[in-house]
Amino acid sequence: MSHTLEIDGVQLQFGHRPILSDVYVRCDTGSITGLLGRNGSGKSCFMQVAFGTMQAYTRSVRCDGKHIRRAYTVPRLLNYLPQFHFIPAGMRVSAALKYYGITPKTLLAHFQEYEPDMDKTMEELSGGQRRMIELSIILLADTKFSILDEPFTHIMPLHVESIMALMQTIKHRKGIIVTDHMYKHILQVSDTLYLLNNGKTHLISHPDQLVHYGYVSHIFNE
Amino acid sequence: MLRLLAIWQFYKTFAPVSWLLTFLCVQLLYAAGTETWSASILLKLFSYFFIYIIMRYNRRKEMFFYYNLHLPATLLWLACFLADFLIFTLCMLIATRL
Repeated sequence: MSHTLEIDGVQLQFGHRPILSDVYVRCDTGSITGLLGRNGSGKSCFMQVAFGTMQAYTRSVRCDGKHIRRAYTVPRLLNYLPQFHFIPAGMRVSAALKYYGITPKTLLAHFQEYEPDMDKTMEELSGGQRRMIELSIILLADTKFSILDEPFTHIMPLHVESIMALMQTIKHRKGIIVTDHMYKHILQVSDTLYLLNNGKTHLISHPDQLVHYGYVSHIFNE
Repeated sequence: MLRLLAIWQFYKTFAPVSWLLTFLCVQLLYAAGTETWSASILLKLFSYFFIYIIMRYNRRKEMFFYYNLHLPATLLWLACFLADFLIFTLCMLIATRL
């Protein structure tokens, strides 16, 4: 079944500094929505407002047209990968998977190399391994949408490719909103792309628009 | 069931400190008698305030583990503090009767 998540009407400011003023982001089941923006442009704030863990002066989060007050409290609606490690350090990988209803077999089907790490605690893993486990859990968990804040940070190129492949597989059953500074990966993986600039979102239909808005100086064509 | 396990997981992060305080209150009850009841309750309630403040700053990132399980912070805190206060009350009642 297809679902639509829409976020708009967000008014957020810190002191007298406006962060978000005119944003509209839409994500549908079966699509990956990319969000680009400079450092401090409010991408993470936007994601936390959408998730419901950050208060904004005004905001409207809707799933299939129905207004949602705090999205994270609605069972199986959406989950969120923050920029930092969020699974308790002393928790075993297998236990973390269990909490989110994921069998080790499901994870190992995508990342076989983690088989020896199943009984390790999160703090026994390297930063990159820990990030991979957390990212996989968010993607594989049974929710309608996933919001990913800088998922490719600390992850080696080979795994970035695996994660992008997993995202392409998973998107058939959930919508994904993703932001990262590795804009080429975002361009590659996204079906819809927005740029957050001066508190406003701009729908990007061609990569050259990123140059126009001053996000990059030029686009590398490989 | 998983929600209960998650609340237990959250409670475990500060339970040892809280249980230690309960133990100290019980010891105080033995040593000074039942007139320490009100002081013990006040001490316990203050400890919840400090636990909340310390956890809010030190475990802020881990809260997303519970948010991703669709557990609101209010539910986590209320469930844990109520359960802990129940343990405290039971321990104090048992100590009073002994």
